[in-house]
Amino acid sequence: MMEEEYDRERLRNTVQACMANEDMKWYRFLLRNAICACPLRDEEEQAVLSGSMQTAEELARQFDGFTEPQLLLRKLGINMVYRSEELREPYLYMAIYEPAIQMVYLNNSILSLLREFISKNNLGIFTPIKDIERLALFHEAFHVLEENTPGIYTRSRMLQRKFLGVYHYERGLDSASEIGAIHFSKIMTQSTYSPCIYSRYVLLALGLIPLDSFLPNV
Amino acid sequence: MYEVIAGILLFVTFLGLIYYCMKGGNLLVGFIGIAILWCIIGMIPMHTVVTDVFQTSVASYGGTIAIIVFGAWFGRILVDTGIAGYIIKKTVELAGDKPLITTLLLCTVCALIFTSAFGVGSVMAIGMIVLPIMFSLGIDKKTALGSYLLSVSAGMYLNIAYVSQFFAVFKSIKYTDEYIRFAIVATIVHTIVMLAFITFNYMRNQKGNKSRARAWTASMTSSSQGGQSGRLNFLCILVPFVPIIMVALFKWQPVPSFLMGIFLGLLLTKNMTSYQIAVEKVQKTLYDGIADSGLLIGMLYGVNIFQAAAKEVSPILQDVMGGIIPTSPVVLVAVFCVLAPLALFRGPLMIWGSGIAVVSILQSMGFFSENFLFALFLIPPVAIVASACPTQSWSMWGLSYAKVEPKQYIKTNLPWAWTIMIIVEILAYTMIGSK
Repeated sequence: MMEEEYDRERLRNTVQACMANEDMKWYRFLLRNAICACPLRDEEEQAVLSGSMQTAEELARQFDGFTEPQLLLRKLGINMVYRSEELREPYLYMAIYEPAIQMVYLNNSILSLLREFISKNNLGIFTPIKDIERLALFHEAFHVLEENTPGIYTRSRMLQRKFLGVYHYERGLDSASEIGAIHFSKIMTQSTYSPCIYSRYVLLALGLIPLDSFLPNV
Repeated sequence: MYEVIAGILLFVTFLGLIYYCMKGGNLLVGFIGIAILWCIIGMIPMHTVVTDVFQTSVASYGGTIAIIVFGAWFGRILVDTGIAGYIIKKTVELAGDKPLITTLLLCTVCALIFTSAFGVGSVMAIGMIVLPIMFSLGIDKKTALGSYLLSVSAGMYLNIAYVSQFFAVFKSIKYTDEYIRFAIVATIVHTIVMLAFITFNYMRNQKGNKSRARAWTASMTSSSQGGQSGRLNFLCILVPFVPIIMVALFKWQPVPSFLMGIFLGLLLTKNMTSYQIAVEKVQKTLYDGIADSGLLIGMLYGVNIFQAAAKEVSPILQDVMGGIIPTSPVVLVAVFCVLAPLALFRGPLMIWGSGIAVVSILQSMGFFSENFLFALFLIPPVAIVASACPTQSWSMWGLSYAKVEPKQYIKTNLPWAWTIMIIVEILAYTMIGSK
C-alpha cells in the first residue's frame, strides 16, 4: 500500500458525501469512463442505464432467497478460489469469473488492501468490511447468470451505429454488463451504498487517484 | 606465425563476445572492451587507436544521433499530448465490444503509429494504454503482449529513427525511395503475419467457447489513460504520419520532418495556446525523449568504436575466417533464414549484439556489397529480436508488465517471427540487397 497519509476527517467527509450519491451518478460515470467506453447520445445513455438496472433487478427478484453468494454460486455449479496478484494495473480486480473453467477467483491482494484501508481510516461504519467479499461474489454471480440467460439485455447489441456514415451495424457495451453486475450485488447484499465506492478505495489506497478525484465527476 | 596466433586470439575473443552478449552482458561495456582487446591483439599503433578507433568513429556519428534524438522526441510528443491515446480510443470506439476485431484494429493502428514513434518510452506509454484494453476484452496475456510487440516491430521498417541506426554501420545507405518501397512491402507482410497470429491464438484460446472472463476491477478510467485525448482535434490522427510523408513525398531531411511533426502535434493538441504551455511541453518531451534514447545512443557509440577496431584488424580476420564463410549472397540469405533463431539473445545474427562482429568480418572480406549486407542484417533485429526476444528493452518491460514468462513469450512468438524473417529477408534481398 502507498504510504501516503490523508487527512482522515476529510476522507471520511468525502466518503460520506459519496454515500449520498445516487446509483445513476455512479453508473453514468462508469459508462462514460470505462476503458472500452463509446460516446452515447443522452437518450442512449438513459436507455442503457435503465435497461442494465432493470435486468439486475429482475434477476435479483428471481434469486431473492439467496442471502449468501456462495450458495448461489454452488447452485450455479461454479467453484471459488482465492489467489493473489500484484497490486498494479492490469491486475487490480476484486474478483474474476472464468466461464471456460466455471471458476470465480477472488483476488486476495486487493481484498486485503481494502480491508486494511477501511480499518486504518475508520471507514467501516460507512462501508463494512464484511460486505466486500459478498459484493464481489454476487457481482460475479451476475456474470454467470448472464451466461446462462440467452438474449439478456446486458449482453445484447443494444446500440445502432454507422461505419463511415454508411454501413449500419449493431454493437453491445461491456459497461452495461458491469452496471448490471454492480447493481445486482448491491440489491442482493441489501447495501445502502454503491459498491462502486470500493473501486475508488483501491485507486486511492494505491495513490492512483488524488482524494479530490474520489467523487465521480459526471 | 604472429598472424596465426593473432587470428586465433581474435576468433576466441569473437566467441567470447557472442557468449557475453547472449548471457545478457552490457553491450556498451562489451563493445568497448572487445575493441580494446582487438586493438591490442592486432598491435594497432596507439595514435590510430586514440584517433580513428575512439574519436573519429564516434564523432562522425553525429547526424544519425540527431535523427534518433528527434525521433524519440517526436515519440514523446505523440504520447504526452494524448495523440496516441486519442487514436487508440477512437479505434476501440469503432471496433465495439468484439474482442477479436478490436485487437486486430488496435494492433494495426499501433503498427502505423510506430512507423514514426520511436523509443522505449513511447512503446511503454502506448503499451500501458493498449494492453489493459486487450486484457479487459478477455484476450489472454501472452496473446495480448505477443501481438502488441509484433505491432511495435511492424512499424520499424519504415521508422526513420530506427533505420537510421543502421547508417552508422552501413555508411553509404540512405533512406531512399527504393528503400521506402521495400519498407512498405515489409510492413504489409509483417502486419499480415501479425493479424494471422492474433486470429490463430484467439481462436485457439476460445476453443469454441464464445464467453470471456469478466472481472470486477478498479481500473483507471479511459480519460486518465488517454491523457488529454478527450479534447483533441480529429486532425491530430494525421500527426504520426507527418515525418514519413515529409521524407517520402516532399523529400525533406529527417530532422526538419520530425520538427514539423512536433510542431503540428503541439498545435493540434492546443499546447500552443500560450508561450508558457508550449515551452513547458517542449522541454518536458525533449527531456523525456533524450532520456528514452540515451542508453541506445551509448550502445551505438560502442558499436561504432568496435567496428572501427574491427576495420583495423580486418586483414587478420579475413585470413582466419575467410575460408569458412560462404561467399555467395544467396547461400548467405539461406543461412540467415534457416538459422534465424541465432539472432535471439543478441546472438551472431543480431547486429546490435555479437552480430556486429559478423558484420565487420563480412565487410572486411570484401565479397559483399553494402546494400546486400544492410538488407541481410536489417531484418533479424526487427523480425526476430523485436518480435520474439526478451532482450529487446521494451520486450523486457512488456514481459514484466503482463507477467508473461520469457520462455512462454519466445514459444508463442518465435514461429511467427521466423516466418516473417524468411519472407522479409527474401524480399529485402530481391528488392534492395541484390543491387
